[in-house]
Formats: sequence, C-alpha cells, structure tokens
Amino acid sequence: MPTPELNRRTFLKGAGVAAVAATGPTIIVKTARAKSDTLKIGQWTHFVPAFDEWFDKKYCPEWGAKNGVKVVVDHISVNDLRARAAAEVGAKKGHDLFGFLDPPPAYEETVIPLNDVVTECESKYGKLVNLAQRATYNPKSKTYYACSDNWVPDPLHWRIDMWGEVGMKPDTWEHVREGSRKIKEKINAPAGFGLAQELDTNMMLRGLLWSFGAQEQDETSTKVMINSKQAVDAVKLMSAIFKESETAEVFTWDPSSNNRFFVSGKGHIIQNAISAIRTAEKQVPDLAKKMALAPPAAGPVRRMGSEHLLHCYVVWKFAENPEMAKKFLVDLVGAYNDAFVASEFYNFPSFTKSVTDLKGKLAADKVDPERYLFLADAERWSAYPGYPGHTTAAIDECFNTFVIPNLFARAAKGEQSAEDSAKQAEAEMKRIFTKWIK
Amino acid sequence: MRRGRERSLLDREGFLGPVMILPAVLYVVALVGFPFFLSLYLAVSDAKIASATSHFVGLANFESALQSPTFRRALVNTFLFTLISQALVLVLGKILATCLLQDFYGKSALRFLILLPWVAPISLGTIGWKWMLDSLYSPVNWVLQATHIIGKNDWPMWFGERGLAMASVIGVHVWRLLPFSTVIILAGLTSIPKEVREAADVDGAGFWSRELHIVLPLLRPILTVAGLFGIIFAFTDMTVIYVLTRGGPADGTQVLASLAFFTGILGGDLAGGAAISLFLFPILLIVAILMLRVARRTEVT
Amino acid sequence: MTVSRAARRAAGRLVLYATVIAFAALLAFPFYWMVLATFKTDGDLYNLKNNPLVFNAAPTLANLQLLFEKTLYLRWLWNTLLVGAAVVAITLVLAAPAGYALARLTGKWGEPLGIGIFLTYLIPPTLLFIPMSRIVAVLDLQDSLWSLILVYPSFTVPFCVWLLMGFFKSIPRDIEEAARVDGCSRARAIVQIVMPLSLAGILSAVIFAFTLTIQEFVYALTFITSSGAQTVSVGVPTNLVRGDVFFWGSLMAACLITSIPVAALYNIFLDRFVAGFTVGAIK
Repeated sequence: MPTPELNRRTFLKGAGVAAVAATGPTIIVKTARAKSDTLKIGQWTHFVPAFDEWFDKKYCPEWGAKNGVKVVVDHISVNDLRARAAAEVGAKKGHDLFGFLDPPPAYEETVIPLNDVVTECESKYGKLVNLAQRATYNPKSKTYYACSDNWVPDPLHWRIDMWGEVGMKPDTWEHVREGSRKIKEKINAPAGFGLAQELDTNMMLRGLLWSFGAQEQDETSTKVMINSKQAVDAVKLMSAIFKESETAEVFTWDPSSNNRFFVSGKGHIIQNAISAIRTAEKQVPDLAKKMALAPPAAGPVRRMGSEHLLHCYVVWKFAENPEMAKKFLVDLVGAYNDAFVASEFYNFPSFTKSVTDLKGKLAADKVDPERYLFLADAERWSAYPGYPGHTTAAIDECFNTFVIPNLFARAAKGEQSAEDSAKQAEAEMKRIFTKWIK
Repeated sequence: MRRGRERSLLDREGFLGPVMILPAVLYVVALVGFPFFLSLYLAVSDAKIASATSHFVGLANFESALQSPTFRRALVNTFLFTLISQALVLVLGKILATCLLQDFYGKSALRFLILLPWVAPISLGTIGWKWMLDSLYSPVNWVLQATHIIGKNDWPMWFGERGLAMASVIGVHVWRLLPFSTVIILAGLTSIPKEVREAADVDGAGFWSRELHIVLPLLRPILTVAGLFGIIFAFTDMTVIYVLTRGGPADGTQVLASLAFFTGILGGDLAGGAAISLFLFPILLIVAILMLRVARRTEVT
Repeated sequence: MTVSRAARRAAGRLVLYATVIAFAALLAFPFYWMVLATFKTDGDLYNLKNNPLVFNAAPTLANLQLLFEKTLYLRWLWNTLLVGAAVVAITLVLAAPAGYALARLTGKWGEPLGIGIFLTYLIPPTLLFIPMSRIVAVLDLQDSLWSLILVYPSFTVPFCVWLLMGFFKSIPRDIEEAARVDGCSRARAIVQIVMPLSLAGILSAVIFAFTLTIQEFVYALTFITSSGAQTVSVGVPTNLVRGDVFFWGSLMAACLITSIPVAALYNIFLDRFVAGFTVGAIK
C-alpha cells in the first residue's frame, strides 16, 4: 500500500541542484516570452487604501502596458491569505504571484525557487536585509522559496505627555516597567502590551525574548531553546508589567485592539507597526501631536524587536506565467521609491538600495518631519521569528499556534509559574519540531 | 381494484422510492465523495500543506495531538461549547416558538426583530459583536455601568477571562442560531394538524399535559434532525470563535475546529489539522446514525 | 367566564408579551447599535466619553458613501442573490422527493443512503475546502459563481432532505390513503395533496437553504478570487477590514442592508405558515 515515496530529503536536494543549475550564469531574461497574456497577482488589502490605489490603478497598468501583459490584482483580507493559499495549492490552480505577509516555509515544495530573482535584485538594488534573507531562504536546499519586497518595522508608540508626568522615557525594558508602573499609579493610564493569541503579541514578545538573550531555537534551526534562564527572566518581567500597569483587556485583543487602545487616548504605550500612529494622525490629529515613536526597548543583552510583517511573494509551480511573474518582481523592487511613499512608510524596502535617500523621504513626511526619522536604522534593531536560525516550517507552526503568547499569558495570569510555563512551551515546541524535522 | 392500480409504475413503492431519493444521493456523492474520503485519508497520513507525497501513518497524528495540553483543553471546550449552546438553542427555541404560535398585537414586528440575528452574514454579525463586547468601547458594558450594575473600573473583560470568554462565544452562537431553531420548531408546531390539538383540548388536557404528551412526540422527528444538525454544526464550526477570541485567552475558548484551522491551514501541518478536525468523527458518526434512525422510525397515525 | 379564568387569561397574555418582547430586545439590540454605527462619524464612534447608544455628533452619510462608492457592494449583493436563488431551486428539486421517499416509502436502501448523505456534515468545510478546490479547478469553474452554485447544494440538500422528511411524517398517512381510495395514483397524491399540506416544511427548507447560502464563507473565499465575482460575506470583510484597521461604520451598514430585506421577506413567509393550514379540511 505505501507507494514508493520520494524521500523528502532527496527531493529537496534534487530541487536545490536544479535551482542552482538553472540560475547559474543566466540572470533574468529581459524580454520574457509570455506564456499567456495575463499576469495574476494575489495580495492583501493594504491598510493604507492609497497604496492599493497606487498599485492597482497606476503601477500595474503602466507596467502591464510596457510589457504587453494584462495585470490582474486580487485583494485578500490578511486573515484569509493562508486559507486562500492552501486552496490554490489544493486546486493546483490560482495566481501567478501570491503575496504572503509572513514567510511560508511550508510551501516550499509547491513554489518555483526565486534565487535568480533575488540575485538580480541584489545586483541592482542592494543587498537583501538579513531579516528577510533568513526568513525566505532554506539553507538545506539552498533555495529562496519567496522573494521579499518589503517588511514592516515594529516600533514603540508612546505618549510624550504621560511619560513626561513621571519624567521618564521608554528606553530599556526596565524603564518601561518602572515608568509604566508610575504612570498607572499617578494617572491611571495603563500600558498596552498584548498577551493574546494574535499577531502583535507574537511579534512584541519575541522582541522581548531576544532583548533578554533568549531565543526560540538555535542557529541550525533544529534545537528548541525556549526553556532558558533568560526566557524565564523575560516572562517574569512581562508578568510584572502586567500586574503593575495593565488591565485584563490585554488578553482579549486582536491586531486592531492595541491601535484602538492607543488612539482612544487611554493607554500610554504600545508596540505596533506605524498603522497605529497613522490612524491617530488622521482621526485625532490633536492627540497625535502628543504621541511619539521609539525603537523597541533594550534588554540586558541587546535592543531588538521583530519585524511586524514580512511581505514576500511566491511564484506557484502551477503558475501560468512564471517568467512574467519573475520580471514583475524585479521591477517592483525597482519601483520602491514610489511604493515606499505611497504606503506612508509602512512598506520598508527589503533590498537596501531600492529606496534612495530613505532618510530624506522620512524627513519629508507631510505630518511630522521628525517623527519617523529614526526608522532609517530600523534594520539594525529588527529580527524575525526563528532568530538566530531560519524561519522554518516548524517555527511557522509554533507561530500560528501561539506558543509564545500563551507562554507569557499563562504566567501573567498566574496559572503557572514562569518556569513551568517555559517547560510547557518547550514540550509543545519539541512536539511540533519532531513533526517537521525528520 | 387497488391491486390493479399498484402495478402501474407510478404507484409501485419499489420503483418510486429509489427514483425519488437517487438524484439527491447521486448529486452529493458525486461532488463530495472524493473530498470526503480524501479528508479522512489526510488524518491518517503525514501530509503537509504543500507536500508532493504522503504516506499512511496510522493513528500517529491522533497520538501526537493527545500529547498536547492545548488539544486536550480544546476537546473539553468543544463539548462545553456544543452541548451548552445546543441545549439553550432548543429550549429557548421551543419557548419562543410556542409563544409565536399565538396571535397578538405587534407579532409581525417582533418576529421581524427575532429573525435578524440569523440572516445577518455570519462574518459581519460576529464583527459587530466584537465591538459590542470590546474591552474599551463595549455598549453592553456601558449600559451595565450606566444602570449601576457594575462600576467604572469593573468592566468585565468579555474575551479576557476563560469563563467569560466561553460564555461570550456560547452567547453569540446561541444568539445567531435561536431564530433558526425557532423557525423550525414553529413550522413543526404549525404542521401539527389542528384537529389533533383540538382533540386534546376536548379531552380536557391541561397546557403542560398537552405539551408533553401530544406536541413533543409529534415534533420528535423534526426536533431530532434539527438538534442533530445543530450539534454537528456546533462541533465543526469555528467562525464565532475565530473572529471573537482566536481561541484565547490562553486557549480558553479553543475548540477542535479552530485548533485544526490554526494547525492545519495556518501552521501548515495539514494531516495534523485533519486529525484534530476528525477526532470526534467516530462518535459523531454513531450519534448521527442513531438519531437519524430514531427520526425516521417515528410514526404518526 | 368566571373571574379567575379571565384573570388567568390576562396573566397568560402578560407573560406572553413579556417573554416575546424580552427575546426580541435581546436578539435585536446589536442591530440598534449597528444602525447608529452606520451613521456615526469616526470621531463620535471612537470617543470613549460618548454615550454609544445615541448620536453625539451629527449623523453622516460618509460610511454609506464609502460602502457604495469605494467597494463593489451592489455587485456582491446581486451575486449573492443569484447564487441563493439558484441553490434554493436545486435544493428543492433534489430534496423534496428524497424527503418524501424517506418519510413514506420503505425499502432497504432508502435509509442508509439518506444517512450517508447526512454524514457529509461530519467533515468541516475548513478541511473539506482543500480537496473541493481541486474539483472546482478540474471543472474549470474557478472564479465563477457557478462553482458556488454547484457546490452549495452539497451541504443544503442533506439537511433539507431530513427536514422535509420530518414534515412529511407529521402528515398522517390516512389523508394520502383517502386520496388514493378516491382514485389518485400515488404520484398524483403526492403532488396534489401532500405538497400543499407540507408548505410550512417546504418554506422552512427554502429559508434554511437560502440563509446557509448567503452566509457561507470558506468556499466563497477560496473558489472566487476576483472582486467582481465575490459574494457579500467575503467581499465586505475583505475590503473593509484592512490589516488592523476596521471600517466599522461601513461594515455595519453592509450587515444591515443585507439582513433587513431578507428578514422582512422571511417574516412574510412565516405568515403563510400560520395562515391556517388546516389539515382537518379533508374528510
């Protein structure tokens, strides 16, 4: 009954060899012979409607006209991206380019390796940032299964006036703890670090772990390392912050909640992509003047946050127009000067030189020329799930089943001690790792 | 004379029966047959979301699932969620349907209001509830505070504590399905021939006696089917939980259906997700067969 | 009527009203909020100090404008209606005869087959949609409303079969027998006698199938990709929930505009149930 199987390792090895051979000397063909005359792209509905306007109504039609293709863009809600991807793979039919908002290592077997695309982009538009490289590359098969065009930093958002009341700034995690406690005592405004099963929590807590020198896995991406003294210390710190300066609402949140929390004026600090402050600038401009951004807080070992989102495209194996798809990718990276501004700085370039004069653009912001300047260095303090290893399918499943948020939530609620919670998280991660790593 | 007519094709039960039921069966089997069995196979394979090949692994996925405390909690939550919400839906539905059987002033308008939760698109209605029970803006909490039932700093975190979160998702689920069960029961009550009800009245049966001994038994086939469907639907549905709590807080409202989605579709372990989805399959299978048999066997003379 | 009996009637009436009004209030109050949200400005909605149950600033049509001008809402409504009507038709054609067969006609294959199709519910659509996508792709129906029209009956039919069986069963056999004694063939008896009497059941099946169709999400999401061909339940969240930003006013407007006409329609249908289907008319 068991069919002679393609041993996964040999398959991947074969694919890797083929990919290297194919990319070898040839870089992308400049004039592609289109298999069909349509290029279908599927990606998320950007939170900045203006970006989708730019992309759908300006960039794609112009690119299409130049290359003799009709470009069709379909938008999918961020929550439904993975479900749609699964369906397209199940149907073996779908878009040519599919944009994920977090790296999809599990899909490696059904996508075309994009090593040639990455190489060409690097030759033209600068190196691929480390966090994107680690998150879209499989070192075992030496394949780029996705090509990232942009990523989103995750800075602190804080209230200058409220922190001014206690004469502090959120520089290190100890400052955050102490300042938050004082602010809560003095003016009863809570902090907004989520402890729920959702994206923002997933990212923020990873940053906290890394700042303490803890990590999910080792560099080889095979060993689970979550149960360490540093991780336990990080858990204890967050439990303290929760007890001293947060309310139980942080267990109820979804990605939009901390935005609302901050924009309503209730809270004094959150960690989120700049969508929060952009919303504030539009809805409550007077209050927004009292808000500021800052790099993630520093821990005893380092200052590190996670990328909030990593946007990357895959080209399905069953894509009908793969050559055009690859060309589109390269050209899109080249157009990032426009994309960056159209997205109101949400889309940070993954290829370092694809946006020229980043700092100048940040300083030219129409609302506040100083607020976004520090983001020019964002790459230095941003990492990715799975750091310092790679983002593997195992890490991806841990991410999507909220192992880290629950690790912290159980301890903060007092259901388990920090040590026991770490042990449980370790057991869960090991169980998941054995499923994927054979 | 009757025997003669029965020989005509349109009279013969042996012919008419299969001919009437076959189209429905063929349609469903042709469409769902392959996916149905493939899904069953996925649960006993090691398929990942994008794997080119897969092998039979027996019950390994189920064993792996049982090791996870998250899964065990999800199993318990699934039973809680399903049984409590279904019980509420049936009992409340029966009460409401009985009321709606009477005539009274303003009935049409009230009935319209009662139907609304069911017809609202699930995704949108649930998003509405997200706001209704939001930790900051909840109108429910606002009203509770305005009527001095709770204080300013005592706002219940509807999605933040295990008990409250479970109550919330059960509540929204019941809210959504109550009109549905009411309509079904109402239609069933209406189908009870008037003369049966009148006969009971003439016999001097009291309200409760009539309900228990006449009405309920007559409703049994419909109640059984609606109840069974409701149970299976609650066991396999995850929309309310996915939108409101994502299974939180700390897996407090995680059920098998939502865990399966996170593991299989979002996490990429398709076979693991399938195993979680189908964990209760054997039990549900037996329950379904038994209940459907009961529904069919009930005879009305 | 003695005094105590009148009093009991009055008390009964009071209980009746109290119960129904309580239910109606609990079920419909979120919709009251939705109506407000539809017309509230963002500033009014997001202000923590405001009373959420009234307008604190002048109502605005901006949310409705966004819904109708910046999204394809009307197109989605139309798509949803089309799919709903088609699926209801297919469901009735398949389920009514099958339900009758299960109710009346014995035979050793009927019951197992009927149970068999019901078992398709045991696999949740969140798992089933993956192999289903393959079928849709093979039939080349991807991105077409026909994929939904084809697939939806697979989950409306089994329940409707059993539901209708239940209704057919509650019609006493004697009535059919009486018709056949009078000279009807079995088939004619079914059409002329049974169907009209089971109108309540048929209408519930229609309502159920239609509701299930307009609510369905997973298949609509995965089979249909282009905006113009989406249904309301997918199109609205996709376009009005952008990342972590919700356009509450427009979302709630979409919810209301979809629900109110459908609920009104059902309400009218329900009147037909209680318009006195007196079974005792036939002697």
